[in-house]
Amino acid sequence: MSRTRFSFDFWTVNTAGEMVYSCFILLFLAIGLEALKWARWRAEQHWDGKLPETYIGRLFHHAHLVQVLLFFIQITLGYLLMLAFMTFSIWVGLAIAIGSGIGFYFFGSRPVLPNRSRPGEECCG
Amino acid sequence: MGVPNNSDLASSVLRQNVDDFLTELDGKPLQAVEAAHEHHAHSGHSDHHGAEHHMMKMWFHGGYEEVILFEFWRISTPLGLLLSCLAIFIMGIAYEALKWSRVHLQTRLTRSVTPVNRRSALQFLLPGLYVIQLVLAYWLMLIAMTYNYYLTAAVVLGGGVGHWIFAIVDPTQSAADELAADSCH
Repeated sequence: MSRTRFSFDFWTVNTAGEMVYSCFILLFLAIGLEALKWARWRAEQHWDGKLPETYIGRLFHHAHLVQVLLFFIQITLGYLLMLAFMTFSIWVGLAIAIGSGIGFYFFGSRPVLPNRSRPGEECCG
Repeated sequence: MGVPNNSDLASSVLRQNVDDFLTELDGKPLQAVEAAHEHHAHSGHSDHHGAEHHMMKMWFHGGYEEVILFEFWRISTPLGLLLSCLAIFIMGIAYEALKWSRVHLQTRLTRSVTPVNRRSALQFLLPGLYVIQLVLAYWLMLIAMTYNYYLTAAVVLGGGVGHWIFAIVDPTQSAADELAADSCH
């Protein structure tokens, strides 16, 4: 099997065993990404209606700062998984897709809060 | 097989050339092999474009020699890298600004009591804004694909700071909602 590199020059795969190991790591990272999105949603639910009235107050509130930090990790992880997918290895692609599916299964459902609006939906629908 | 002293000269020149070549290659063996391996498909494509044939390192690296998105956007100095990172940072913030303003406008359109078939400027503006948002999103993704530490950091930091500024402009709008996100965000 030819050598594959995953985004970092220390992460090379030379044997089948290493590929299996790498695929498991990517699978859990994909699950982790869905879990992270869910965690952000739960944090937002918890703080719903409890944020300051002023924009500046909200801007520097610790709940929002935590959200921003989680968002930062979320997009980093999203980009890394995209780059791993770009190695075009079928096993890697499968691992990431299956991981995303498992993650969505456990963390994906989002009942809508009554006073939250989602773009494109009627406010009371 | 030729005059002895000429062939000696020729073979020593040849040996020197080979040594030089090997020494040059010695400094970066893996890149050359890796890039050749992973881009043999691409090289077949771009050969007719002339002499331009840069090797793409498909793992994270530092440095300031990059081509970013377009032929004309080349950097080869630390200053170029810094300015590019600044521009990309602003692009990231602009992307979040665009995303949240589009979501805000979309919500306003949905909440308004005017009948749906009445033409308002918003109905044409919103798909246009979405297209611009998509283009920006793809550009940011392609910049992340340069695998340059600094440029990718600028992308991610721009997104983070943009989210910080614009996600709580409207507190009734869900910031963690899937509908406001796209594949990498």
